[in-house]
Amino acid sequence: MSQLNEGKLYFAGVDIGSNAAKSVILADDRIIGQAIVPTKADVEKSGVTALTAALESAGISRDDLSYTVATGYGRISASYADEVITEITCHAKGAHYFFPNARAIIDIGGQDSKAIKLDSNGNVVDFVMNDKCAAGTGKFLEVIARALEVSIDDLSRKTLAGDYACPINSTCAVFAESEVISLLASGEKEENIAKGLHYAVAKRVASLFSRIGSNGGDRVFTGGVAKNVGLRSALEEVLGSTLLVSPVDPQLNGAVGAAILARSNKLEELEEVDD
Amino acid sequence: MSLTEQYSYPEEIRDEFISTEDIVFRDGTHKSAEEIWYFMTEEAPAKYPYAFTKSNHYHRRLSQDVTLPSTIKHNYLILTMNERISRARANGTPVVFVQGGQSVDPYYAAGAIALRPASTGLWAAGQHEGLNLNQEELRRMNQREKAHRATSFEICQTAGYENIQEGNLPVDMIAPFTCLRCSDISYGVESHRHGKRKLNLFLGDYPLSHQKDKPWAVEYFAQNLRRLTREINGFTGRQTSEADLWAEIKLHNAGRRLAVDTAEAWWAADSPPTNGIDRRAIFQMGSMEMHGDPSASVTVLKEANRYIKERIKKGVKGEGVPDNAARIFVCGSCVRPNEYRTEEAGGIIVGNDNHWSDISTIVDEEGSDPYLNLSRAILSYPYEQDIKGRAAWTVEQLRKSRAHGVLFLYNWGCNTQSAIARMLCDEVKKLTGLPSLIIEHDQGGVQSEQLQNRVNAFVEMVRP
Amino acid sequence: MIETLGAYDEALDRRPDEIVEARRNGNKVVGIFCCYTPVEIVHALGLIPVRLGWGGDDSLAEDGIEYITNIQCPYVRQTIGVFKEGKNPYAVNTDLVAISAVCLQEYRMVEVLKYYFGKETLTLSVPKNFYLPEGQEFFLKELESFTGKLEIIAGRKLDQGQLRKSVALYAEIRKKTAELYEFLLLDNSPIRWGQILKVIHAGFYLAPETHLSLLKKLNQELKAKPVSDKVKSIVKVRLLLAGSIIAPGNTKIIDVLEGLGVTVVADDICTGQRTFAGLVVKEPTLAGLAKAYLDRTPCAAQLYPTQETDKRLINLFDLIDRHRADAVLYHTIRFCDPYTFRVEENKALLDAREIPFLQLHTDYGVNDIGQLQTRIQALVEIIKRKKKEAAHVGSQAAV
Repeated sequence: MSQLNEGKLYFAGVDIGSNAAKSVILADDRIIGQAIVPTKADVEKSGVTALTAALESAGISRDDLSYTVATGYGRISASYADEVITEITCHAKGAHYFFPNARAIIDIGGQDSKAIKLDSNGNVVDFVMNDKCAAGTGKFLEVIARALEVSIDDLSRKTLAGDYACPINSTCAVFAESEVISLLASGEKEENIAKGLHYAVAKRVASLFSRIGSNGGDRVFTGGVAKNVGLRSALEEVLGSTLLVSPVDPQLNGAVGAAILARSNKLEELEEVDD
Repeated sequence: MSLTEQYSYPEEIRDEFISTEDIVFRDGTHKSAEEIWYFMTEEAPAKYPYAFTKSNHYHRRLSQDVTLPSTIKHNYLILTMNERISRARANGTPVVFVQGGQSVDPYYAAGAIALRPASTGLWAAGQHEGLNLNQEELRRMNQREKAHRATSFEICQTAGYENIQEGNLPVDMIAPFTCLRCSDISYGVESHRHGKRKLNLFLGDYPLSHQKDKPWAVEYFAQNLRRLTREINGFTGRQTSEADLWAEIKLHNAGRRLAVDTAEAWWAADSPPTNGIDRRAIFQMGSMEMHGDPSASVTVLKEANRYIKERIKKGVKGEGVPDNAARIFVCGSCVRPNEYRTEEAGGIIVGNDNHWSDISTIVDEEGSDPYLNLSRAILSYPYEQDIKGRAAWTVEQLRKSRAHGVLFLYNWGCNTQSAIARMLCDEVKKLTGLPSLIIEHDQGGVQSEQLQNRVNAFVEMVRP
Repeated sequence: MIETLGAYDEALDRRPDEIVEARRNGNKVVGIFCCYTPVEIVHALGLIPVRLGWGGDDSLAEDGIEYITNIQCPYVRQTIGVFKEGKNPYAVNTDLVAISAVCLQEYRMVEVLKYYFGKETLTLSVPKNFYLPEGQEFFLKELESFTGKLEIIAGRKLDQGQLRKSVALYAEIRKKTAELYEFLLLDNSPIRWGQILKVIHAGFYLAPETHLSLLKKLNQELKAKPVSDKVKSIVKVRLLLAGSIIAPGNTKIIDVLEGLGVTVVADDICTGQRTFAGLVVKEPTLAGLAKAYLDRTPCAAQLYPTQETDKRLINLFDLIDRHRADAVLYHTIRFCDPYTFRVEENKALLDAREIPFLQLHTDYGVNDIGQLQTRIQALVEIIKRKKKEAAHVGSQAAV
């Protein structure tokens, strides 16, 4: 049932990542709907599923949308999108939406980590992303959690109970797994290993971050991994500063940014027509 | 690696140890065995707890072969690196960064101290007190991570960049020879150009391809050496004469000859007279670089040579060395397996070609121009010859050391040594029939189970 | 449609047979690695110079690992793989492999080619202290010795008159190649950068006389093309490509860029612009060649202690200015130390000039194309936005 209001414009952002497809609906500049669904083999379908679920939560239909932007690695197969924009640009807009004073973003995804520098308008000024085998991604923790037969949340919580961060040398998730097994065999406590793992990821990411330099302002932690308290705490310690995490699920940040861009690009288009 | 118990030298050996020789330093000062004992039993365990970690998994664990005085003296010199180098620097001696595959005669002749990356690592470690093993590992890893970003993730152990640019080491000059033994250090020289600290950069430009047979190459490298001396003189304000260089060459040759003599005795003995880690340190003292003081290295080496020959005469085996050990020779750059764990598994590392290439190259002491003689020797390093030349020399070492097998280890990120691994092993096999194993070593830091697993399997395979 | 490019393809098709025929008639082929090897000398001695080295094929790069390791750069690994495969006509028909020892991995690669494939090899040692008099003296003697060995292979002495002709020929080739790059200065160039690179690479295999005549034809054809009067409604992004070698066959980055509609307006790659950048042979003698080759715009593997006078950087900034590049795409291949070690420095210098910089660190596999596209697209988004803002400000100022 449509709850369409006269004069209101609706915009959608869809972020199809390697793990999950996220979607956000804006009514003007207010978030009125959202959804997160797992990304399946059919990437296009996952995007549509996310969009549909978000529309449902907003109480509007696809026809009500003025403009849709798709982002994330699955954006190339988003035929329903009016425009595709990279997740770098979208994350910047998303973080800026929640934190207008944000000037730097750290985003740790399943396979990608990025550090983004933005200006006061939420525009990307500079960015840097991880190279192959330089690790510092969510995958690292996922592999270890599976090997230890715990959930990522449990692993994260163990971090907070560790006495010290046991040094983890491997940057490759595959070899970190065998390193963890050796440590356990030598009697090292799980909590210290967990702490060491999170610190290893944090250091790799912090190192990436140092490439773009600081420019004052707030630092925002986005992406699904921002929900990991252990990693957040490790990162804050390594960076020596607080990290802000959005009040809305940080995993939605890219989709929020995409929706914001959908709005601004559509409005710009409408303005040009008026001129 | 967890916090484990600490090791301490047993009181029982004190009396015998303090009756051994002093260490005589370059500046003429002495340290008596009694002072050394006090430092290693009272001061150092408090200052540097990580160094006294008892576990075998710590590959730099102190050797427990304590009736060999050189083992305690060597570790004394390692743990006082910070104190001594800092003092020397404060007294006006410049410190120059070099690579591991080269000799250091001209640097000392010119009035400087020359340190390779591992030595700068020890100096840096000495600046932090009270760290246990975990803390020390973390400290190193953090610094290393920063250096990776400033250079590249694929650099071999940051080629020393971490301690100089990201750490606190007041090194004065970056001046390695650009030998093939380490291309990362050569390329890394230019990285200091954008480092936090502006340093004097110098390339000892090493000519390639049959270099020792080309008179113009020998002349060119000699020019490099002359220029090196002049630049270091710029720091000291003192001019180096040819007589100075001759004298230095003689001193370093003495160290080299002692190391070779010790090695030949060690290799010929029925049973290894020392364990692997002591052997390694003693042989490497011949580089004259290891302790940041060539005179100190010579005094310890002289004593070690005597003790080893005594042991061989009496048929004494090194502590922890297995019977019927698999004798393994390690080829490749700057990395080695955990000696203790290898010995536990029934093997012993009898030699490594890294550093041995320059240590076993004696400089001709006859002639009119010491720079030319030095150049000729440096251009003849076995490591820097073509594959046939290098293999022939390697085979000679394998024969002398009576090795059962060759372990070729290279660091992840080491482009130049890894590139010849297969060729060298194949050539060695052709000439001797000896089995070999090529393993990529972990990128710095702690030894992994994977690596030790492979080493142990090889030991089992070649053990007589 | 550029007709001369078709002529190039035909010439390339014929070339392997020509070489086989030439060898049958007693001519020898010298396979050259590295642009620091003075091709003029090879040519003047009546030897056939062919520039070797291939990229872009991950499976051949995997094959190469059998003789070396996986921590060498993919270019070196693939080249070894090509020799192992034994099918490439240029690899097969090489009588002598000649290399300038600038890149140390290539130096090792040549050792592998000698050891495992029985290739006769000749190495020219190039001084890293190329700017010091003793380095230059050394290099001249090295070059003399190198020439002496080539003379034995060629069965004749180097003739001064021949050398003069060869020097002039290659100088002309460089001049004509530089003219191609001039087209990239235009907003609507009649030729794409990727096509220019292919032309240069064609020149690695063709007889220089053929290459020169085709180059002249190409220049004429391009000059005669009408300038496009298509309305520029799309904001165009102009990129400069810097970094590691892009060996013949490695079209990955070119394909990604062209697929995204990004225009490359310049490069400072050794198989591109640096085949001619700063290389002026003033005297057609060995001394003249020695001097010219050391003075040329250097490879990052040629170490240099002073940032301010580094010709490689000066060339880079000059190209950015002349070709009006909006950003620099710094493309490095895995384990290419000379170029990856320079990333931070290049980035800092470009940041200071407010020129966006993006490093793409990759190899020959195709599994990261999506990731490369994302990074490049994000860079494009930054630039387009900046340009829109500048235009907006401009139009406001005009009001």
